[in-house]
Amino acid sequence: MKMHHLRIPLLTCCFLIAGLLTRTPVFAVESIAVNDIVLGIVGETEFEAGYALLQNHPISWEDDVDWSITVRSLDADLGMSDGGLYTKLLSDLQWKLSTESVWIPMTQSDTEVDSDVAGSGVIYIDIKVLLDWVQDAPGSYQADLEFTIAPV
Amino acid sequence: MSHFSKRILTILVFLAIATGGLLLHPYAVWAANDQSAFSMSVPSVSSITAGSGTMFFTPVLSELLAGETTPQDLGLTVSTNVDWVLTITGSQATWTGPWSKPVGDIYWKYGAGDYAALTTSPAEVTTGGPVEEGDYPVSIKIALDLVTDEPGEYSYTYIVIELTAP
Repeated sequence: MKMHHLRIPLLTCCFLIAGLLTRTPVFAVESIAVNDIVLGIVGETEFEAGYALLQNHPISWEDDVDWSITVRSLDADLGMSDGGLYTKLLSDLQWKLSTESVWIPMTQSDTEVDSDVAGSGVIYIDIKVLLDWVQDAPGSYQADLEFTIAPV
Repeated sequence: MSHFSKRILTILVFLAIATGGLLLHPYAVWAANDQSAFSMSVPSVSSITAGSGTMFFTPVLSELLAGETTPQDLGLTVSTNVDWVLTITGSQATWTGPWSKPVGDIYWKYGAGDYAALTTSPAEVTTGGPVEEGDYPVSIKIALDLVTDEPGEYSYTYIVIELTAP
C-alpha cells in the first residue's frame, strides 16, 4: 500500500487521539478500598435496641478528577434464616455517612454516598441492620456490596 | 461506485468515527470499584424479666385465717426470636425462716389455670413462639398455717423462671 493511501486513516487517528488528549486528564487515576462489613453476632442488647450498629466504617479513595462514590447491593436480600422459612429484607440494611443523620435503606441501584473534588482521603459510613424479635429467626445473613468511584 | 466516490465515502466514515471519539466522555469508562461483604449472625436470643425481681408478702389476719395470701402477679415479660417453653422451679426445698417451711407452700398458676404447688423440678407453665415483650400472667400465692407458721421473717430464694427450647 502506498503512503498516500494511509493519509486519511492516519489523519483520522491523529484527530481522534488529539481530541481525546484535549480532554485532560485523559487517564484518570482512581481507586477505592472498602473492608468487609462484619457486624458479628448480635444479642439481646441489639434486639432490645431494634438494630445492630457499626459506626465509622472507612472507605479509602483516590481520584485525580472530581468524583462521586456510590454503593449498591449485588444481592436482592440478606439471605434466609437457618430454617429457610424467613428471608431478611435487603432494606433492613441501612447506611449513612457518619457525618449525616438520615439512614438510607440499601438497594440494588447505585446510590450516591458522597462526592468531592480530586484528591485522596477516607470517608466514613455507619451501617445499621434493623432487628425484630418476631421476624429475625436465627441465621447468618449477608450481602455483597459494591462501592464505585467514578468521575462526575 | 466510482473510485472518487469510494474515497469520499471513506473520508466521511473516518470523519464520523473521529467525531464520535471527540464526543465521547473520556471518563465514562474509568470507574473503579471494590466489593465489601456484609455479614451478621443472629443466634437464638431470649429475654425474660419478672417484675422487680422480688415479691413481698405481708399476710394480715384475714389471710392467715383464709390459709393463703392474696395472689401476686410475677409480671413476666418475654422477648425471644425462637419457639420456647416457659418453666417454673423452686431452687430450694425449704424456706429460710423460723421453721423449714416447704417449697410446696408456694403455689403458682398461669392465666385462668389452676394453682399448683411449686417443686424443685421444672414444671411447664406455657409455650410460645417468637414474641416481643409478651406478657404472661403467672400468679403466686403462699399457703399459710396458723399452727405451723410461727411469727417471723421468711424468705425463699429463688423461684426460677426459664425459657427453654421445645
